[in-house]
Amino acid sequence: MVVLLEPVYSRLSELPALYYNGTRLVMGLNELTDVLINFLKQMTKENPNLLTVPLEFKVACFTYKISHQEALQIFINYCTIYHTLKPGYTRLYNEALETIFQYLELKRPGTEPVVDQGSETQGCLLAILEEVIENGASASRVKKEVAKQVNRLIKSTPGTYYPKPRILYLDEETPLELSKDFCAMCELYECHPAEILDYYMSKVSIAEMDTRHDLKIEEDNCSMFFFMATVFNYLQQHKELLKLTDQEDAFIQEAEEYRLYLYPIKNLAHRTRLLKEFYEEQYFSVNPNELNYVN
Amino acid sequence: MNITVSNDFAQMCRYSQQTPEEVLQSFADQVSYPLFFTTKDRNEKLATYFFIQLIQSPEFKGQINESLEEHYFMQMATAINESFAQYPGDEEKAIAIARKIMEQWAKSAVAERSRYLTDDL
Repeated sequence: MVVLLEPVYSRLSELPALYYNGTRLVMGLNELTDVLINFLKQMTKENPNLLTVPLEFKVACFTYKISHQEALQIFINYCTIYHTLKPGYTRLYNEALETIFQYLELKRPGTEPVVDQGSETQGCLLAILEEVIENGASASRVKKEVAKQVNRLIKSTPGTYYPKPRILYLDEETPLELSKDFCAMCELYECHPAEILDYYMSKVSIAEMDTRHDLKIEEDNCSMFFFMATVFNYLQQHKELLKLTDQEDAFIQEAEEYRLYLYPIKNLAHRTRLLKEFYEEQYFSVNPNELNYVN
Repeated sequence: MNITVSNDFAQMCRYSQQTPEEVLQSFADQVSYPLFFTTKDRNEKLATYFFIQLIQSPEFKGQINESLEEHYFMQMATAINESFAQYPGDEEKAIAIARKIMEQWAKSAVAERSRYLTDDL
């Protein structure tokens, strides 16, 4: 697609003229902006190293005063090869991994979340696993060994499934550093890091969480649990964020009142949708610029 | 009716020169689903908000038949919408219609409870 933008100076009323594959299109500024936004959207779709953050995830991050970058970085850091091998439950690490496995299950139903048999890396990892179980090696020793293998894996593979250098972008100025472990997993499970992060973001919805709480329906969303638990830790470390401005305080009160107002609606999906719209409205009232990027 | 008036409440009544009965009476007048779903005035909803908050809290001791609740909420919403469509802006009419549904609801709730009790025997 060739788009040539050329200002037409001869007649001011026709300011921007757009050429598309040789045909000249004259349009108003609004239409022109639409065309450009669509064009940019296409560009971003074509660039797999640029993440698109869905609105619900933005709303969730905004509500708990954590940046998208920080929230995603925390998720990446909790995905480790060591914990895929370690038997038993480790809080937060298991929830992060469960998110990845859920995505893999969705992408390739029925297959084990393990790569094809006989590959060298797979063999190494299995050997380590055996060591964990049989020799009762100390955790630090196993961790060291896993790190060594991960390094080897990263060096020996061409990086088909992750970007090199190991960075994803939320926009031009916001990089997201992919850990070696995360990249190694993408290589083992044959998926791009952006796919996993997209899935994680799509699972986070505070509207659904709050509605489930109000309707007393049990929550089985491990990604949401992970998000809330890590945000809680984050806020504990950044106590200054816990002080609310008058506006934030008003938002919380409005939201609580609205949740009571929704009491008569017993359908989970319906109630979630209404609460979601309410949260989005609050979000847009503070970030009016975001409205341009929706749809 | 016999209730214990806390010290805080008693003092607030004393300084505002009202009896506890008067305060509770004006509160009781406004706890109403028909009013809650019909009025546009937020202040008129406050008493019912208190009630909803009460039945929704984890400490709530009573029992609510949820299928009946869902059914009658739907009926009430439909009836109020229809009333407003027929008589735009007439809150009185909408409230009257909603009250009729409340009556049916209360009746079937009692019937349901006694059925449960007799079944148990």
